[in-house]
Amino acid sequence: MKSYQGVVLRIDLTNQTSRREELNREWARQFWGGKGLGYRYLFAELAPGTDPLGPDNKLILATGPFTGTPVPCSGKLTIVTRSPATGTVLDCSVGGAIAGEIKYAGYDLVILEGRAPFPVVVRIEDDRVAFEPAGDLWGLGTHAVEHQLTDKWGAEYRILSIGPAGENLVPFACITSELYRQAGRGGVGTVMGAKNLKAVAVRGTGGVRVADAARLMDLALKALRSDVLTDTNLWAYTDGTPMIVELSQNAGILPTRNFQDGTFADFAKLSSPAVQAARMAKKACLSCGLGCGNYIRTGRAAVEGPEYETLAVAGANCGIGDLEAVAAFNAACDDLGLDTISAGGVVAFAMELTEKGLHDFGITFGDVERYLEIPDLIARRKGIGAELAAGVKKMAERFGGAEFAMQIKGLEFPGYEPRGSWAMALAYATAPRGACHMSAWPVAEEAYGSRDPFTIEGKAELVRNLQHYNAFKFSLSLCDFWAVSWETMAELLSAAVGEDLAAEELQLAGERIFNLARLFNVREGFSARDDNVPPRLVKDALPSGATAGKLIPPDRYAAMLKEYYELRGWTDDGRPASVKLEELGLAELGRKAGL
Amino acid sequence: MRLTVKLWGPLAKYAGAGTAEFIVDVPAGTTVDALIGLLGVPAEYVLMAAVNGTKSERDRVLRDGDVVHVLPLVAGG
Amino acid sequence: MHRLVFAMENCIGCRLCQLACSGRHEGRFSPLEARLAVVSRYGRQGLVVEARLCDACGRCVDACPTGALTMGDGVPLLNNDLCDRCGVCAAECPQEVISIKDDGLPRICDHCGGQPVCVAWCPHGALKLEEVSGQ
Repeated sequence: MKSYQGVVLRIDLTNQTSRREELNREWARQFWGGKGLGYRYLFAELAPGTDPLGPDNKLILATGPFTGTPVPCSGKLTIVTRSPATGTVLDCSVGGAIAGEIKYAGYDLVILEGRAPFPVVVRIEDDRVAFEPAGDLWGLGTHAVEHQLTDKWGAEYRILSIGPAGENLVPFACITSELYRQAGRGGVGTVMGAKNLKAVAVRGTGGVRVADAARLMDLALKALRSDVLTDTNLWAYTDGTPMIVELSQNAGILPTRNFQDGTFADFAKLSSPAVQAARMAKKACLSCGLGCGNYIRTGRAAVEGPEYETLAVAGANCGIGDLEAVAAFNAACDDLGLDTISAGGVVAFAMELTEKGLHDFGITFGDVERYLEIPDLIARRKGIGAELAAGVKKMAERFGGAEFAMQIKGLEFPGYEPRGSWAMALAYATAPRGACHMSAWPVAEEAYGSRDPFTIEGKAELVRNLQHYNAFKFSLSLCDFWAVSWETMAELLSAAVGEDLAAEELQLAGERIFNLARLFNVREGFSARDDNVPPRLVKDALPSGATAGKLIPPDRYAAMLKEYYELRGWTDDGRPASVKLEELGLAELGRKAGL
Repeated sequence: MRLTVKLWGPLAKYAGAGTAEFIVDVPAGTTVDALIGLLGVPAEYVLMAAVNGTKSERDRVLRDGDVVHVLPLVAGG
Repeated sequence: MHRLVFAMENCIGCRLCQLACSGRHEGRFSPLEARLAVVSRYGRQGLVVEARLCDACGRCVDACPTGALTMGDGVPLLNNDLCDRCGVCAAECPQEVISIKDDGLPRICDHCGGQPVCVAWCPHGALKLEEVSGQ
């Protein structure tokens, strides 16, 4: 198949060696790249029960068949590992241009394994791999790391790095690239820290060959002009994700004060017009015509962001109606290497624990100055940061508040209140990596769109279909902000790899990829009992706005989950049944998962 | 009756007023859908209409003084 | 004559221009094989956006020892048959947008014969081909 480099770079950090391996093309043909291909390698290479922070865990950097080509919005890198926050399979994507550099250096995948005996930076330039001691960088923030490495080796290098949070094994440590782009969730940065891997710097000088370059260019340019730069996608350029603040506020699903409310009185101070007023420039990832990034400067910080998730979870959800403060929190998290979503989640939880008198963290909703001290405390595990660094699930085990501990499988909630988007509750609960908005995003159809959010009718099917769509799209490393059709993906992929692919085949691949993630989790002991939502969602009604009086009745949630399992061909305890595995070509892997 | 309207993001171009709020006079009994039509905004590009800060049904009959925001399709999150 | 012009404020740094350029001329996608270069990155002082384009300065034409390069309509013209593959043009290019192929011939921007792919692909009009007065 064209458009692949056909090479996997395997890096052994323990022995500081590397070797080139042939890409498993059979797997590439079934799982394509990015998320799917990363899952396939991880499933094959990790023994069940592998300690996420041990040397046997792996960090897989996965590109896709479109990486490095002008297919619009194809610049994302997927990072796959076993999550130290959840114990589930974890895939996390990051934008910028590093995926392109990896591909131009000649690799489809880079697999990092083992543990370096001392802090290192892995430097990759085409076929040369070097292990540079990083003792002098240990303890520094990601911004200083990037500046120092590009000063030394050249601005052409693109870098993945961790800050003190990753070094100190905070379970929600992220990986930063190009200062403001993050692979945020589930502790990908924690895994780097556990491997003594401070940074990976990559430069590639080669190129990507596809099956039919002229045809791919014709199709991609047509897509760019008539399917990307259109009224259906240009919100990402005109506004970017801060516009979602407006949608969520209107729909009553803007998480406020640790999900105690779905509207926020000060929402306008966090919404798109406020971000635009501070905007200096728009910034895109490699090959993206949308350029969702808003590079802003406020009195407290310069940052590309804040994105919606940060504005919602680290803003409204902490009672912070102050863009300057959220931007400063965002910039600090990027530099320290903390996921802003989970960081916002633990801060909001600590605020509510304090408010309810369960434990006094000395921090209350809306307290800007105290709020701004917290990222550093968490990253360095100092003061209350030592407690907050445990994450919401473990904080609840220690301090109480399980009723309002907004996490699933140990991953803190993103910025959508499920009581005003019942399908989102199902999406969070069944996402492979815990409470995650990237496995399916049904809010567009129901909370924001025309479908009734307060019913379970048709929601299992909606979530299932969206999960297949994202699973496949992210296996091509396409960005979620391009609302691309299955047919367009099939057309582009056919031209890239030189086969005649139909949308139906890609849909089946999406289902296969989603089920493989489930198999990984089943193998690690996850089952239906882990697909539950926090009690708050089924017990407490929301107080205001479009969701006033709404909760998800527990029997409705149970019925929705049951319908979802049936629709998926899974058993009552949430395991893929053998008929389904057979249909997806996963029967052998199912046996390996103990099914 | 008189309404205050704001068209968000790429929809701003349809009324020629940019993304700022503007005033329109429409006949009594105008619904949200009818307003969107009067403004020349293609309905298929509208994700949400909000009236006075809350998501609204499209067949809602507007009242004098209402503030109507029209928001475009989005993807991802 | 025609000249490529760059409006920095419209550039989002996607580098589709470079990808399209290399795809069109080299049959593969490689930013370093493009006949223009766009930089968009965060330095210590914030976001840096720059473009390097052939601006028809003529240094390569002046430096060419064999007469293989002559000045056309806003871009140099290369006569492959006369080129002795010495690489002086690339070394002399102040914009550093001439690179050398494996076969020794230089990559010279030719405005794609009047309809540059970089302009066609630029999503927000940062690149344009303009008619300018002059010789």
